[in-house]
Amino acid sequence: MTSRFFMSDSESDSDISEEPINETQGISAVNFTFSEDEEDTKRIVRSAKEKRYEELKNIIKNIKNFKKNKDMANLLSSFEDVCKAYTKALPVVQKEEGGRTPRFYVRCLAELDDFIQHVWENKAGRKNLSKNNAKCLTTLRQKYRKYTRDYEQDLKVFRENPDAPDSEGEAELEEADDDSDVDDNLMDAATFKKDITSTKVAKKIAKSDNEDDDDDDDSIYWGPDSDDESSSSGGEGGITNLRNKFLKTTKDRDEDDLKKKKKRAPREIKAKDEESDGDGGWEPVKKGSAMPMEKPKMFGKDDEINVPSVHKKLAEIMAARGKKGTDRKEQIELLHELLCVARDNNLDAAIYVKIQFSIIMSIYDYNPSVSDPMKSEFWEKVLIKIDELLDMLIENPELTIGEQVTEETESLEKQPFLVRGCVLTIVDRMDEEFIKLLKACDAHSNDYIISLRDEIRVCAIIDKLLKYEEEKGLPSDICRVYLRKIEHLYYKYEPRAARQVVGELPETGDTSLAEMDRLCKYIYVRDNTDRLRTRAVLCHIYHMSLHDKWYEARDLMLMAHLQETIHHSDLPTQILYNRTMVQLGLCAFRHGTIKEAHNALLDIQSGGRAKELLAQGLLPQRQHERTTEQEKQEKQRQIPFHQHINLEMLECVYLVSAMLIEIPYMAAHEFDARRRMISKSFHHQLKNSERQSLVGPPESMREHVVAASKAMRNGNWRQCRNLLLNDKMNAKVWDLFHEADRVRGMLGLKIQEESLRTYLFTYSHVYDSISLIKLSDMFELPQCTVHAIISKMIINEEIMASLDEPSSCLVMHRTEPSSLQSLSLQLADKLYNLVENNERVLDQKPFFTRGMQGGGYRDRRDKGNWGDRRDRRDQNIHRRGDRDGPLTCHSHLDLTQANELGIGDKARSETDSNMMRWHKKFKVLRCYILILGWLGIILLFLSYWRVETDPSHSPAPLRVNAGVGGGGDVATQDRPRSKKLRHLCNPPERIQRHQEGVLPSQYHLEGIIVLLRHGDRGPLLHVRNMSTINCGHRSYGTQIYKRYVADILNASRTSHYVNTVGPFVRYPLLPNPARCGTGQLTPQGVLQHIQLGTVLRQVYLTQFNLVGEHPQPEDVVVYSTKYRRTFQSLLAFLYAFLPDFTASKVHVQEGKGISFCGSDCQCERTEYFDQKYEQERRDYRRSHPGIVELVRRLGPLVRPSYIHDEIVNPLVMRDALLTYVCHGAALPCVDGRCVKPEDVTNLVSYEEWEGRQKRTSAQRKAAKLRSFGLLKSIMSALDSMMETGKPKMVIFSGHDKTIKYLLDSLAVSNYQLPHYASRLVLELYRNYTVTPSQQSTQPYFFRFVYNGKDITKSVPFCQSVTVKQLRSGSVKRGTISLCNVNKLQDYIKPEFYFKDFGAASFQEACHK
Amino acid sequence: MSTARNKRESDTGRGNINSVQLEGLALMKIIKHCHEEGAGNTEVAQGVLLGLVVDEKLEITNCFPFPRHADDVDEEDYQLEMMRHLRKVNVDHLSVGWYQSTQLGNFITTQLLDSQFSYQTSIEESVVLIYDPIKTARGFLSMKAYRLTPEAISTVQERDYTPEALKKMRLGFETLFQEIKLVIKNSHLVNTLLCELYEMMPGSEGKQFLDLGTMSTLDRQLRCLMEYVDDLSQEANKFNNFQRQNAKQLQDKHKFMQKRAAENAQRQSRGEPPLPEEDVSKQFKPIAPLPRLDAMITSGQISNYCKQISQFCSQSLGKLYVAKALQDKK
Repeated sequence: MTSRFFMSDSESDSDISEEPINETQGISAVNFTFSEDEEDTKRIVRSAKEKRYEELKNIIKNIKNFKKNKDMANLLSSFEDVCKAYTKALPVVQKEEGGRTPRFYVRCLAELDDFIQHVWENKAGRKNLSKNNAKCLTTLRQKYRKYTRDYEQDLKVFRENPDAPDSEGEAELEEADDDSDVDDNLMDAATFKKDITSTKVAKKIAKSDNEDDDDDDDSIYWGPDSDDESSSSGGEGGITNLRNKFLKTTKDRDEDDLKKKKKRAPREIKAKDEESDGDGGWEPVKKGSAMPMEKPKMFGKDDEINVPSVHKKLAEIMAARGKKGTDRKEQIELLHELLCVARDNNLDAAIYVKIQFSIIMSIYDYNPSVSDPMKSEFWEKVLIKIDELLDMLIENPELTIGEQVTEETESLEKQPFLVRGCVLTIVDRMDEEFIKLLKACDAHSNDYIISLRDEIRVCAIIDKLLKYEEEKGLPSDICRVYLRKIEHLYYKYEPRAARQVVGELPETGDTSLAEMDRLCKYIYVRDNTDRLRTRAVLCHIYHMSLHDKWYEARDLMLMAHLQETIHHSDLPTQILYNRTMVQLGLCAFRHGTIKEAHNALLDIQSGGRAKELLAQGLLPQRQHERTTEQEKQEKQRQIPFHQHINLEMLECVYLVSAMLIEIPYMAAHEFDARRRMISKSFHHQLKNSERQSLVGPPESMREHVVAASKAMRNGNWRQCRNLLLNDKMNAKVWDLFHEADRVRGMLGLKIQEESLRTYLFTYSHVYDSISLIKLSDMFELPQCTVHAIISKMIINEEIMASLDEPSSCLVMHRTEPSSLQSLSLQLADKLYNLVENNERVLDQKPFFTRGMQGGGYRDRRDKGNWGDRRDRRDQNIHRRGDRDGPLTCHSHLDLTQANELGIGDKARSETDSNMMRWHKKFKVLRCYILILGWLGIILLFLSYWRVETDPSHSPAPLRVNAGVGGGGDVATQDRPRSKKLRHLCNPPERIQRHQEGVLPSQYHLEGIIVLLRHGDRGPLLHVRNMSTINCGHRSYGTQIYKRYVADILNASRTSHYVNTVGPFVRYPLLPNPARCGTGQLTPQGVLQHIQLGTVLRQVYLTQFNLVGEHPQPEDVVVYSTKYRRTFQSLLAFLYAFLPDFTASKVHVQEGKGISFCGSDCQCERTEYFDQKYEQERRDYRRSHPGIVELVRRLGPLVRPSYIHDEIVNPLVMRDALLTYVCHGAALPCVDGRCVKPEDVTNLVSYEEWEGRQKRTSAQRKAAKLRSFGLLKSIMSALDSMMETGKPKMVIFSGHDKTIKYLLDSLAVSNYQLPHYASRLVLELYRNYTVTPSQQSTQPYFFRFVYNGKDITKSVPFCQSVTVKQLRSGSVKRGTISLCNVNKLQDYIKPEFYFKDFGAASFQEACHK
Repeated sequence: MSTARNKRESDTGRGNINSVQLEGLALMKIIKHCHEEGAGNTEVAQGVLLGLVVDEKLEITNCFPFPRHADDVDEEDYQLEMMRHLRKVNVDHLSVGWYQSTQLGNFITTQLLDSQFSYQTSIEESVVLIYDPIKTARGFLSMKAYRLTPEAISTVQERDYTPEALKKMRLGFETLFQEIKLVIKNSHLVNTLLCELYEMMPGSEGKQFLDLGTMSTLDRQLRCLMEYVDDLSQEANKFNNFQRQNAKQLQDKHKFMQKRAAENAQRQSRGEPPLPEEDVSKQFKPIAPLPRLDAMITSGQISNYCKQISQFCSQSLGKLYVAKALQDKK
């Protein structure tokens, strides 16, 4: 230890002086014992001080320099720095120096003072200073004065020592002199002696102990400091001592600095060398011998070359990496040499790999600028090197390479080899460089192609890496390699794959599609960084789109949900997204889905920035210049040329898609006031061409498209097609598709179709009817296609027309407002706005209201009227079906309005002459409105006249819902026979409470069973003009219906709904608003049931409070047959019947068959009875030849001629005719022969007559068999009600037959079929006056109420008791009868029930 | 034909011209010019009327057109030159107004107002003749004479179109222009020629009055009407905004005054001099009132359209009834 200590001293000259002091003070003993620890602890303390002092000194040095240069500005700033640094160092100084200012600092201040004084006094010199410098000088002087005020004491002290040395070097000497008073002689002698000895010792030790130089340094470094410490504690005191102290430290520091400087450069190398040498006991390398700057010899001649040595050498070379002044080229060469050395000596693969790595890295480093590409020779080299590296890696499977291997864990000598590094990064970098290289070439030159040739090699390398990683790599690495591979694959079109898609080649796994699929799917599963997956998805979609796998690509795009998140991803990914969308759009176009193509391309094309969005070039920016930085960045983002998407093709596809969508749309909405553009850029092109005064023949692609659009507008498809599909366009666009002919064919077809649509939109107002054959000739489309297109248009309500199938004609309905009409509507709108505005003006003027005497103008004018009018107008617009409705109604209103305004004006002008101007204004308004009125009249007249003068035109469709005259309102006429019709149609207002729930007080209502028939429906068979019958004419649009629609739609969105409707969840909620579907419910039917529900609710829920506020699920049991009409009826009924239907927890259950037969459905005998009954009816008919004749006559009128089966059954005929009658439609006419209202009533009468005939056993038996199930379930419900009190209500929603069968089986006489929305209610009562002890009679009674009429007494088995006679004069006339439940129980006992059949059970009855 | 001569209105305050008598020759010249230049494009044809004032009747005996593209020619020089030449050939050379063609009757514009104003202030008896070539082509000769009313003249002179001023002047859109009775006078020779021509006309000619192709005209007129209604409603909107601002300012001002009054009362009680009231007007500068000229002109134009449409409609209705009767007879 001592020796070491001494040794350390040996190198410094000055410490020696201190040493004896140390020893004398006896601290040294401690020092010796703990020297090692001591050193460590001190190191820390020292560093803080050292740091601060070093900082200060550096600045002071600067100050000196600036003083020499007289650079006042920098001097000033340095002065400020030094002040700051000193305040920072103050705590350290306080601690170290005991609160005194360090001498060197004071010296600096003093010198600065001198300098300032000097400069300041030298006036001539001052004048020579530059302006800036002069200013700084003044500031400096002031600052200095201010600052030094605190240090005056110190300065004074300093000044007392005028001999203060200028430089530290001298100071050192001087200090030595100073100290010499104390122990001069002794010192000198000791110094020299020790110096010599210590060096010797040091050398010895170095040899023997293998001590590091570093350690030596440290000890040298720290040694003196400990002395400092001790000396200060020794308190030898005084200024001298203090000064000594800091002088010493400074000197030490300087010395250290010097040493450090010398050592810094070679140190690492030296260290390494020595380390490696250490092993073999080599001579220490002389200083400076291994400087990397000079061309070094790799190893000495007889150096042993092994792994560590090479590694060390490598590290040595690599250490220079990235340093300034390192010759990169030389470094590469050095590395190569090292590699050769390694190879020559047959070292292990690991070190070899490591060197390869370094070479590649340094080649990458060679290029200083990131944005510039590599030189080609280096590129070549890199490729080769990487290839070699990969080969090596594959050959040495025991070698592991990875980033996770740290410097420490690297193992180059032993198996398994672990090498730090990442091949992936190298390959990634290579790929980047490749793209840079490509971008650097001119895309149209040969160079580009030559560069592009390297892609094969790049791909080969990637493949190799892929193979390697697949064997060894982690999933995340594999994902990265896969993506790399994908990005080289996705934009390439492989004809083989395309042919496979088409189906020409068998499916094999070796196409690019399959490859993509495999790679991408791996990434989807394994990747956990979002970016890789996103990119993989996009590439996948791109590739699939490229090969026309449209549906797969679209589905993947939709499933990926990228649209929402793509804005958050990085720019290259966004660019890839754009590219993918474009490719998808192109694919959609090839596939013929124009709309999707348009949507996909819209975003890219709309701003005119496609080039920029696809990163295929920079666009000049208008507003501001790019900075060079921005430009560089943008250039980096560009896609290499061979991956570009043809922009012209893209634009053409977009424009053509826009044309195919927009032109028919424009034609359809020509008069629409609020027409919106679908594609702005397409409109822009159109407008551009319209602005030209002279349009020449089309030249560019855009002009072709525009010209084609114009041709299409006129429906001239041939010209349109020729303009789009010609040689010029083929060369420009279409030939670029890989299946150009197919695309052209598709496009031609689309043009034909869309032209047809456009033609119909544009010219439909010219035609009354148009033959489909003619159309198909005109557009050269097969007739079925024309038919399909037109049907679709009719369904979408794009044209108001119907197809007349026998003549295969399209019959226009003329319900679209003509241009004049729509203009008038617009004008009315605008006038309304104007009036509003004027009113506002009036409202604001305070004096106007004052003059009005009691209420403003606004009050007098019926505000509601305006609102009303507007509503009605809106409604009219909705119901364009009404031909002359909108305008007449409109004009009348306008006229009344005008009158009103006129009156208003008069009144006002009397009261306030000030308002003349306003009066005038309103006069103008009145004038406009009058004109509108005129217009309306004219139009009405015109249309009327037209109809009158057009004899060839059948009036039926025109009068569809005119609501005036004709047979339209047979049902509303109040003739006795018509009443019957009214009864059959059962309009909602007819449904009223009659005898429901009327009972004497001693009875208590226990429950009800309701059997419903569905509401008004369309005919069961197709009838003539059916498409023109508006089944919702009275109901649709009423407030109740609207509210119902809104509520039920809301309810259907709740989770309750699914529970409520159970098996019917997929059924539509609402009937078709206007169209009469065969057998479908109509809005009228809905209204009937709403009314019925309301009525029954009033009776049973409000009056009797059967279930309380909130019906429990077990209170109400609901069944419906499996028909839309019954279900929809039931919904409407429940909606009105149940309080808060939407929240109720009712479950709708499905009833079996049409008569809820439950478990007793299968029965062969029913058919037998049915046939028998049918035969009977036929006999009836035969006895009534008149009716047969009538039906035969009506047949062709009612049935469209192309349907050949005739109606023979008057019942069916009745049903068909009711369709017209109940919906206010005109009865059908053919060739002047019409169905007359009398015919309908005759039919109804006959039906009734037939019903009145004696009931035969066949009919009754069939009914009995059918309704047995229903009766059984009614009975079980009654039982349950009587025993548990639950359910309170059972509702069956069925058909007319359901009710009919039940009535028949109960043997109730009913001669009319139940009308729409019929109800049969069974009310269960309990008589509380009958005590339960009377076993014979149960206290429960029931009664039947059929359509509000008590029919209990007509039930034969009942022997009913008439309880109450209702007096006439009351609404509920008639009698109230009750029947004991026992009777019903007895009646449906099988042995009794099936007595007629001679059987004792259902099965028996059926099989006999 | 010249019955107007006897018609003299006692009310001389409305201007000194009661009727305009237009020479057939001048009319033909106007028609020719307008059809050649004014029809078919958006530009209007204009020209100068020449004639004399006789009592309260303005006799227009001649006219000449303005050159259409008068970029290089100074219009005034051209007129003077023209008149000088005409005087040399002994034609009436007194300028008594101007004429203009119109499309669908959209002639009421600020330009018309300004030009007529400058005419009427320099030559008091000036009138403007408005000729509609399209309507004439359909068989209705449409020639109208207008003058500015004295109120309009004084208003335009003041250039004050604020609501207050208009109210004071009792000027509305209907009192802006005054239509003057127009009489066409031909020489007797011409009249006889016409009679002769009528005799010679073949029977089938002139009987196509039942032409029902009227929709397009109505359509176009409606479109124009709509445009103007839009304008008017914008004007109303503007006025509305103005009113709102005004009201707000008034309110603010009122508040401020009240505050100031209270302050002054306080000061008075303390014996200090009251604060001046002048700065109020500085603080609340009155908002410039909205000129109503545009609105007025638009209204005038709209009422013009309305008149036209209603006239047109009544005619068409008549035709339709006639046609219906014919149809029924068949």
